[in-house]
Amino acid sequence: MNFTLKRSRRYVRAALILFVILLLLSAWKSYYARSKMTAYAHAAELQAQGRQLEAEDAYMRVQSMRAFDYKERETAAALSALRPLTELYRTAAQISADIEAARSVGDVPTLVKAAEQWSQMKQAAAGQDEKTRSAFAQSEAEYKPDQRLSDAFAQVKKSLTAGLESWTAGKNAGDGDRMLAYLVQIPASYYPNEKTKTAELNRLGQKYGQARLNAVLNGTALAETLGESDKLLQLYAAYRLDSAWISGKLEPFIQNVLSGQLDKNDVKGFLGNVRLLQEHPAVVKPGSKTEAYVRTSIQKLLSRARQLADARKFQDAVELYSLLGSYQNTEKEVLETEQRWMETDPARLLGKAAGEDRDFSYMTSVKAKWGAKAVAAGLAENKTLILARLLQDGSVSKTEVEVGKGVTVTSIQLNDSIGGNASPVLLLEAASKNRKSRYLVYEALPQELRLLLDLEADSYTLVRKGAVQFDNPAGEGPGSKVAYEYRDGGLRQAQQTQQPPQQPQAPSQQSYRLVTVEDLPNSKAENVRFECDIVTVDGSNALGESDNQYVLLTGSGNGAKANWKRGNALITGMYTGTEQMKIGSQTVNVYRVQVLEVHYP
Amino acid sequence: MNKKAVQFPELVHTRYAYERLKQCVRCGAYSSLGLETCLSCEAEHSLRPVTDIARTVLRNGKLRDALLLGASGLAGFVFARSVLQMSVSLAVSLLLVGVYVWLCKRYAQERERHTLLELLKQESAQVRDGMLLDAENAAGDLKSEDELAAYLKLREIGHFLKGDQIKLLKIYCLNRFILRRDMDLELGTLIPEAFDPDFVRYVNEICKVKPELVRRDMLDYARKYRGDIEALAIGPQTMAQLAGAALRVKEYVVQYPDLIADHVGALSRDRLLRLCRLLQDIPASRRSARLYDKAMDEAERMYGNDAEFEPILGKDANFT
Repeated sequence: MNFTLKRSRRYVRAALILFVILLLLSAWKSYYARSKMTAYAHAAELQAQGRQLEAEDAYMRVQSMRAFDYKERETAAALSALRPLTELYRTAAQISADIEAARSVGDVPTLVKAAEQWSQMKQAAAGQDEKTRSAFAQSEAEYKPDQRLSDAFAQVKKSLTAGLESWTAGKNAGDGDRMLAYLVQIPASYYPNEKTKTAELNRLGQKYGQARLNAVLNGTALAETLGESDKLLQLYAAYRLDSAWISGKLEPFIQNVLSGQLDKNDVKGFLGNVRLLQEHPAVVKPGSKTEAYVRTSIQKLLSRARQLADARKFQDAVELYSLLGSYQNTEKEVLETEQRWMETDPARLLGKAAGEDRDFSYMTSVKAKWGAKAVAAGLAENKTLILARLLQDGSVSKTEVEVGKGVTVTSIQLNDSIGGNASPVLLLEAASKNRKSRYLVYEALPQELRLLLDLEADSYTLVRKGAVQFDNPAGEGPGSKVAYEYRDGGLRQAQQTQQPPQQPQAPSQQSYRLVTVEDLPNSKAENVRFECDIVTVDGSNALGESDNQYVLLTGSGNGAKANWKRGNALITGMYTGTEQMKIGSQTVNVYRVQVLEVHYP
Repeated sequence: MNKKAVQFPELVHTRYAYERLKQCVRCGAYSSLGLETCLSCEAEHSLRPVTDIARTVLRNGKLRDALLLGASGLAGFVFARSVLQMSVSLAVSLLLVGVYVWLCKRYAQERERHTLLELLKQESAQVRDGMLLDAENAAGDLKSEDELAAYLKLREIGHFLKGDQIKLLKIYCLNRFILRRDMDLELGTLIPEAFDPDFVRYVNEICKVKPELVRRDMLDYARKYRGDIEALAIGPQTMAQLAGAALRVKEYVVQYPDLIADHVGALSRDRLLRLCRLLQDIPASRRSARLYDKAMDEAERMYGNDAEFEPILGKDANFT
């Protein structure tokens, strides 16, 4: 039951508990206050005795007692006064500790930092009051940083020098760089003098650098050598060490490598290395011997490419030019070579026009005719007749036509005598069941190949420009001769005659067979007519070329003194054999033809 | 009915009723019986006078307040930031406590009284419950026919419970006793609200042994219920005794003339003589003529030749 007496007892108890708690807290507070007072007195005593570090610690303990205010201003003032002095001590102690720690592990950056810090401290202390100077002197006497630094640097220098001198290829380059870097960082004051330091560093740097280079100069891989050289040069530049010896060591090696590649005709490899050299301008400087060697070698290669082109080795020439393109711009040369190639090689022109993966046969070509630089014709996959033109602007046009099933082509000729002057005419000879040959004549218009004539006959004869006669054509009487002439845009039958009409201006009345240069060896003891480019004239002789095949033309024909002209020509003559001839730097097989007639378009 | 001869223990008179009240310190129950055992929780020797209780409560309160004052001072000490603040807080604390102690001493009595009154005010219900418990205890005595013990208890209880229930129980008990003049009897505290024959019987006995107990409240009750009283067998006798008892106080002669006048014939010689003398002392304007006449007539008739009555009877002709 909660009655008044009981309640009153309860209140008393509660009040008593509260009182006791507060009493205990008061006791603690008293103790705390007393402790702070004692601590302050102790700190003041330490300060009076000159024991600054301990006094500072004591004052800080006093300051940390925040539950009671006692001499707060005095404590703060004492700490402010003590801080510079104790800072000195602490810093000196810290520096000494850092020096010892760095010395044990050879940590030069830390030693350098400690040296700088100590030096700054010295300078700062020199300009302070007596008290500070005295404190500084005490800390210096106690911790001896100067002596420690001197010993530490000496020890570290010795260790690093030994390390660098004994550095070999098997060791980690990072370590070597680090050792060198550390040696550089050591202040000159810890050497006899600046000059000695520089000389020592150069000596060690060179020794170290040579060891590194020797490792990579054993092989033939330039990349590694150049890379290593670059690193060394950067290293030397960073530390201002003498690097002049490096080029003297490298250049013979580089030239050796390059010349070896050229000797092996490894142009690609050579140029790859040249590119590498270009990527390391610090190693191979402009004006160096290596650079001169490279330039000379490149010129020689360019000259070789020209010779290849002259020798009709266009593929090789283009490849070489292309390779050389990685060194300098050879687009023009490549383009010119390509042009020449297309002009002289019908397979090339046809490939450019219709696709290089096509399979061409019975190719023929003519240069500088019908307003084009070259015209080539061929049979693709034995069924498609393709005519390609290399135009004056260097572009290539193409026309084609299916020859039709059942047509077995045996030869193709480009002819300007059958059709009009504006367009070339293609004369296809094909197998025939009824006569010796089947003749298909196409006119090569700009956009199409138009069939002009398709007949079977034993032979044909060019009567005159724009007229052709066929012997014993199918569908006519035996021994008949049918003439066709070009008029009204097609071949129209002229009168049937027994004999072909005489044309004084027509080429020789002797019969001849239209062939390509390639077919000459198959045309012994017969008159043939073929087209080629006159490339060289030598008195009464001339050198012709067609499809990379050379023809030695002897005698100018027409019974007149030699009057050879360079360029496209229609030759009538007889194949007399093959001989070898040196053209450019190469010895090639040359067909010999005794010329009866020459006709220039 | 056989009456018992009993001896009342000496009645302790107290100035205030609460001085007779005790509280159990264990359960807080009140009792006026002074028993050794608490009737509520049956704890032994746990009853203390309420005055003591109040003193204790007051003391506890003073202690509590002093502790709180001290604690507040200590709190100030704890949170003080400086020696000065600590000293000030301690000093103020001591000062406060000192002032408080001085004030307590200065107003001790008032505070004690106030505490007691507050205690009783707050626990009036508990007091009533305690008295009812005491009454049950007394009723138990009655059941076991220990009227004396019951009456003594009822007498105590009667100081707090003034209702007719307790009075009637007391009357019942008193009517079982042989009343004597040396007994500490009561009358005024027994007057019930309504007419009660047992009370009249008791009054009858009281008028015989202790007529001085008949006072104004009794005379008022007699006047009020005169008819009911006189209807009883002992009624007239009782009324005559009450009339005789009323003559003790001159003022009653003035205030209750009819009551006395109707029973002049039943007065004894001394009583009649006194009456006549009182009537003569009272001015005619204040006295009842009827009573005067009757008294004189009675005196003339009964004691005309009595020498002590002669001055009374003779003087009247000269008193105007």
